[in-house]
Amino acid sequence: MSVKTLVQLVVVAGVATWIVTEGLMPPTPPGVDDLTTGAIGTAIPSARRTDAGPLVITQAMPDELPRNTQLNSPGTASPPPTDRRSGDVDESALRYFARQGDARRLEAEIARLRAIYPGWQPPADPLAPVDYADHELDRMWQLFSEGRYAEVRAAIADRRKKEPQWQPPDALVQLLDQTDTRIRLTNASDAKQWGAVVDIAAKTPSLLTCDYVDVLWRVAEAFANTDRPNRAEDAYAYILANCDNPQERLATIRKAVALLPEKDSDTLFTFERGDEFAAARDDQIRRRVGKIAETEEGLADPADLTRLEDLARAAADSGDPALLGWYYYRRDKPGVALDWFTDARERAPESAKAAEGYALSLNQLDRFAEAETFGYDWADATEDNLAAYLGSVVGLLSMDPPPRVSESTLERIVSVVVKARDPAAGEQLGWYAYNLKQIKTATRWFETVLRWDPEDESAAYGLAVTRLALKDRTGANVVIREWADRSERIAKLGKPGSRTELRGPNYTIDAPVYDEGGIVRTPVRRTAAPAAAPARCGGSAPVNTLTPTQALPRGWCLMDLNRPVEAAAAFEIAMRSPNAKVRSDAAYGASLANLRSGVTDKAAVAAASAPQSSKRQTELMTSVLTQQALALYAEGRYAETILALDARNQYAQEQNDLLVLRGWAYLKMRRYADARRIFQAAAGTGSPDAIRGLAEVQAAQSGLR
Amino acid sequence: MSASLLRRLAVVAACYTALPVAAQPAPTMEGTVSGAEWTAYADHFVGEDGRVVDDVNGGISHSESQGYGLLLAYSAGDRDGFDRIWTFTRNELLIRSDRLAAWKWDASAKPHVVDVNNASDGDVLIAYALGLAGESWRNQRYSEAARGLASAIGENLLTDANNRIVLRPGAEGFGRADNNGMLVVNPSYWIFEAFPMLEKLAPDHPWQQLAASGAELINAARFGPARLPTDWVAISAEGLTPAPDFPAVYGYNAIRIPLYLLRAGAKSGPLLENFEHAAASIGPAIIDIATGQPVETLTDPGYRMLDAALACAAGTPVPEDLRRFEPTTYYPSTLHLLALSYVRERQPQCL
Repeated sequence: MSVKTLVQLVVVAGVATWIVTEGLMPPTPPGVDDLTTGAIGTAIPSARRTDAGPLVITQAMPDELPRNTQLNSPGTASPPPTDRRSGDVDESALRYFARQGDARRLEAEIARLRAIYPGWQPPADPLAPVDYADHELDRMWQLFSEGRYAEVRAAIADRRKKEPQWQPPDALVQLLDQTDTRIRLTNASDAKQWGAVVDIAAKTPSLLTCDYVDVLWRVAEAFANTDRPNRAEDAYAYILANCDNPQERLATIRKAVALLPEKDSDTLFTFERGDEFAAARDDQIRRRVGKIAETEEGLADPADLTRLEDLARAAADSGDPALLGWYYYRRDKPGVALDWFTDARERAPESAKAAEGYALSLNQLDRFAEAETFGYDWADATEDNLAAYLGSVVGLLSMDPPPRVSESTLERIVSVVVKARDPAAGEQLGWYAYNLKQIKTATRWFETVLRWDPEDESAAYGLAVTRLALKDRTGANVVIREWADRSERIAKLGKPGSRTELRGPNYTIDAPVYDEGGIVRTPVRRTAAPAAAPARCGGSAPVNTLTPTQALPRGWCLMDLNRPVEAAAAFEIAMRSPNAKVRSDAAYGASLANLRSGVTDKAAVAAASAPQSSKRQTELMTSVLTQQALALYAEGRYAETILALDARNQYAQEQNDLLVLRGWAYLKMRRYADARRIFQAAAGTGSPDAIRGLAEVQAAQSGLR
Repeated sequence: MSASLLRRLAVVAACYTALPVAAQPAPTMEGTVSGAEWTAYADHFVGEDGRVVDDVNGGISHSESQGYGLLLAYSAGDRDGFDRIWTFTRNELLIRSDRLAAWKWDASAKPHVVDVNNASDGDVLIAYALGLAGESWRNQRYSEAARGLASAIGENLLTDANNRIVLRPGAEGFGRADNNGMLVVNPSYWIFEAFPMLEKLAPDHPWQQLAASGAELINAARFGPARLPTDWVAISAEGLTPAPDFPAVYGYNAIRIPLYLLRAGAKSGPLLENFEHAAASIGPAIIDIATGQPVETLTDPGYRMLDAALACAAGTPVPEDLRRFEPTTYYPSTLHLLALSYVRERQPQCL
């Protein structure tokens, strides 16, 4: 027996001990890792000490072998080997392994038989075909080697019916059992039943050898998926320390790179022989850059990028070019991104993901017409492709000045938008029609969008504006009444002096824009302000497709355009940023946006959702509570009005107008003494409201008496 | 149905069901399916790899078909066949981390397990058959597997509803949170004959209470003009109703209920009367609960044998043509053999 085989057997024993220890544990719920201590510490170091010669040889004394060989799995039904007389040593397993060319198992089987039958001598040339008389048994081995396990069992059963005294060879029985377990473990792993995978492996150490690297991979995967990366690392380390198949070794390190945290897979590179793991090192680079490319945060190591670009240029598949495309797309380098997506598409013309990246890059380059033409063919492929296409549509239609879009293009745009029921693109079609003086068409678009999403403030705004443009005052008022308490800009459409006017000789129609003071100002630009807003705010993508980092500036830009509802949506996306500063700014923005559109409870929630500086906190809470107090009073909820005012007092001093509000609240609650005290204080500053309040108190009290 | 009515019915059930739950010698059952019958069944529905094929359902297999296969192989005394079916069941279905069986296996899918959820009747059947085989053939491996599965059932599938222990149809889903506070159960998953064995295998779990709640449930779930249970029943604080989101029929699930009651030793009487009445007045059929009318008449001999078994319990001999078993399709053929096995075991005078 070669020293190497002995080494492997000893390692098998070491791992067996480790796993069996775990097998004795009760089924472990994932996440409770009480298994990383103790036994593992002793097992794996010995696994790694493959060149520690003397110790290994001592442990591998032949009389210990039966316990350790991979053929002796616990719990088999076969009778104990000592039942056999040494005269009829069954060499059929030897013959099978010899035929398979499986020298390792052959040697293990020789060792096993020697241990059971001390006087037995193996055939001089075990690899030579043995003249073997039992053709039936021969056939069983043949069936086994072909993987026809059910037929082996059937053949064994048939023979035992004919010859009740006949016993199948231990080796065959054990191999069949082992095969069953391997199949079961594989099925459990395919079904992602990680607990079952670990349980089965723990009970079957004989499977955890270089003969079944696939099983070891699955065990490692099960550990990695149950928050035990250290145990997964141990399993990979076992393979790399002991198993020699070069493809399996490389596959092992690549799996480790894919599944383990980088620091853990790094350790495994110490097992490298020569530079066999070069491909895995490239995987590490892909993983590092890929992780950065998922978000807009951070930059990749320049050396990593250089290597990845070399790989991408040489690659036959689209993975690396597409990865670089996404990396540059999310770093505001759409030109570079477009080149990489072009490469990716050359390698994989059917890849919907590469097509999506290509379309988004065109969008980011404001090449909307090209993007629309390209993206139309992909719009049906996936939801992401559809979103990219709708982004192109919104961008195209909101360009300034409005582009000429052919009738056939408009037709196909409309077909996709209607099918997708996409409010942003539907609204854009409305504004596009509005700009072409097709006001009735525009009205229908806004009505349609409101059917898709009755809560869409921008569509309601569009509808009110277009109805006013059509001199449909009644129709506009329906919208204004419904939205006045939710949208400041819609409410203001209903006030005198704010009527939309069709102006100018050409087709350009300016919708009114309001500054923060609520005063109508003439739009500076020639085109319809709401329509152009997304384009002006630095991008055409619908708000819901933005990343948190993109969403934050979009939110402020929309605030500048006084479109608080859309701004709030953008800020809410930005609030998902991993960056605390972005989150805080976004929460502040969301709070202001909600305040501006009168949604105070949302504003309060937003204000509380990320830590703010105390100045901002004071500003936000003062505004939130002021609006709440006003709203509560308007709803006749006077006691709550007082509570809101009291709460506000903790942030800012009560101004005179709010003092008067407090007085009125007391009056409504018939707390006349309190009302009188407040009105008197406020009347002292000459407030006519307070003076009127005092009179009311007087009247109410005398009326009561 | 009010809770108080439910409680009153509990008393009724306790008085009249007389279902043996424990401490009574289980019937041997071995030999109640003949070698020829079993060979004919196995030739049709059992692959050499031990897979029991539901030929009408697209040739899939499931934990129920494997469980029935084990039970019939045991009843026919075919140890090799039993071992083959068990090997397939263990390798392919007993792969869940909670040690229950995945329920659905499809030869044309990869991986073959297309739904890793369990179905509680399959688990009960497998544990029961393993327990029987382990005990009567003195096979430690079967007994050990039976104990493991019985414990897994006890740990994962028993739950409390209106102060009774009931069997959840699966470890996932069917819970109160999924159903507005209702618990949906399947009365045909109460395989009463199995509970004494489960009691022996996993004595730490309340199998007797489970059996009692099942009898009570079946007695109380008398819906519609035909006064029959639906396949799926919702339990809420108000009592029992046909489960919403399921067809309100006495369907392919529920038609097994009288057979299970008979096999567990139920006698002709209150618990069986509505099933007997339906058999006598309508015959084998899927029955719409709202109208009490058949929506599908069942002509397969296997389904007719279910009614014949009920009639036999009241003294009527089994018709000549049903005494001979000819395989047709998986489900009715299985029921045919289970019903014949019952008659031979408990009512041989009907043959």
